[in-house]
Amino acid sequence: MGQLHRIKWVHERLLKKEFPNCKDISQAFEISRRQALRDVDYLRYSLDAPVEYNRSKGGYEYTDSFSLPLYFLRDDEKDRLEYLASQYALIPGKNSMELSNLFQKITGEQKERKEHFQIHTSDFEEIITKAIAYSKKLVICYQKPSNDSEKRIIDPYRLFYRYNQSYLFAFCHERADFRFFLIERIKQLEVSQQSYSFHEDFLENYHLIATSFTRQKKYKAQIFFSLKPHLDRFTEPQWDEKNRILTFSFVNSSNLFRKLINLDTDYPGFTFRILSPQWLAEKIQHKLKTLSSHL
Amino acid sequence: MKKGKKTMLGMTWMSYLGSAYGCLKEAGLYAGSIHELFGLTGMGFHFIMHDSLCPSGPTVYNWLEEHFEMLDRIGVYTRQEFVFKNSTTNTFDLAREAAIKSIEESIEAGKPVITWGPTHIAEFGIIYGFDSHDRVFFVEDCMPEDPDPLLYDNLGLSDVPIFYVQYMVDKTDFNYDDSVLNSFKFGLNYWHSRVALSPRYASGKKAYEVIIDALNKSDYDSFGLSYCVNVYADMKINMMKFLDQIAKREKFSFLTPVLVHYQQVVDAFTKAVELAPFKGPLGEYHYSVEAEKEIARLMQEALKNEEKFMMAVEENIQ
Repeated sequence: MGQLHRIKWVHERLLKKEFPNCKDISQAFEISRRQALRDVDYLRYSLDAPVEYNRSKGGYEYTDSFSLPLYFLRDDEKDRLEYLASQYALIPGKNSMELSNLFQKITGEQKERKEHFQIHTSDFEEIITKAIAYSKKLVICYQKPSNDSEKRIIDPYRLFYRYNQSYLFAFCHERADFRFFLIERIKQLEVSQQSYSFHEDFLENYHLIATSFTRQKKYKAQIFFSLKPHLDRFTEPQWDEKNRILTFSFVNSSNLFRKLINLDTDYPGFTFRILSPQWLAEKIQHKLKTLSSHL
Repeated sequence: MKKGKKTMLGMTWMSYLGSAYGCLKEAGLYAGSIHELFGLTGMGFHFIMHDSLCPSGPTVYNWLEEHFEMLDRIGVYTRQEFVFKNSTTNTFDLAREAAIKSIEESIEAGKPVITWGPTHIAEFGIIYGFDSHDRVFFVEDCMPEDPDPLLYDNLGLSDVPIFYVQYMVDKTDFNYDDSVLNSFKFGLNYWHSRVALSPRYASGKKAYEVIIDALNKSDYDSFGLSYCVNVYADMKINMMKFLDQIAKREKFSFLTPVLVHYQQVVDAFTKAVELAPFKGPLGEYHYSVEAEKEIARLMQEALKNEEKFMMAVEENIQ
């Protein structure tokens, strides 16, 4: 029996001045007295009902006229709003805080968070939109095509719609690379307290991955660096400390060239050498020659 | 180790023809000019428009059939492979893997190949070299920048995922006048066919009606309008040069009095280009109502003149 049903039952007895108490409610619905008390509190605090305990009668009564609102939240709707309240609370901004408070007020007293509950995909989209606006990382549980679920920490960049489905383009910290996620396969989603900054390879990866659904592969390169570079500037980086070789993926040579000439090269003795692929080494050399000829 | 010799596309907006020109020249299979290639192959009679004037128009036709016939008209035998990747295609990867060896062999024989979408641009281009160690093909597209190579693994995986390769195999002698005649017949077929590969794409005479209708309704892809007008203006300028050239041949002297009509088609497209200049893929494309009306008027003018020209051709080649 849901809370709505119990509230209606209590309300009818209060109107008939039968002075119901927690014992009556718990016996009628086979629930704990603590749960019965939460129902009364919900009636009193969330619905603003003028409910008072009458000691002489040993039960509750209305001290003023009251009628129940026309609309009641079902338990799953309350779960949904509580989830939204908790997530909006993590997102900065006055509007988010107001929405969080409003959702919390509607749902009543805050209960312990449930581990599993049904959330609408549209709620995720709404929260993701806010997380993108405030550059907040997300922790998601993502169901793979094999049906296994994986926890991922992602930097959400852009929501997009294709072939009647919603997708999220994001940087995945587990993969150290960009990925798109089908929203309906996100089974859980939490806004993190941590913020993120845009990865410098965002745009080229967005064009490669999100605007084309053909799953094109990226180039792989190996570069010797005399000093370890910041790995988070690269995608899928693997650093071989012994040989000082970085293996990583990239989308186009022009952007990689810009990245390489913008590395912190003013450290004494800093050098780098492209080991593979051969075409990249030749192309970068050619670009450097062209650049130096203009100096 | 890198193999193959850099091969540029011919200077034209029509990427297939530019690619064919580059490959044929490099392979030593064609010695003529690009405008002659437009005319002899019949590609210069192409005129295909989507009803929204989307930029795909110039490349939506039966590639396998037309590309074979086009190069056959200049005596060049070609072999082609085509697989469209969709959710139900099983053999796409097998087809690509099998093609890698054939492409390498063609390049080693000094014959670059034509392909679809070797870079992120949805156009035809050329594969002119390879490095089997790095598993990349060296490619050219229609843009001026030197593109990055194409990974073997990405062959056929452009935004329009069609695996398409055309190999230049060999050449034989051909009768020039007969090929021109065949090209005209192909052109007439296009002019009257009204519908290209799919119902939303119109060809020939009907393509003009589609442009005029879209402009009158002010409901069209503004980038596509500029792109298509520029592609077809370039094509018609090339065709004018070709027609001028063949009108001097006895068999085609009937063209001389009607060339004035084709020149007026060229003039109309040249003016339309001024009203709808191409500003690159990231440019902004907005047209005033006056510009739309004027382009529609120019297309009406071009339609009238091309109709006169094509009718004269039809009367004389039957």
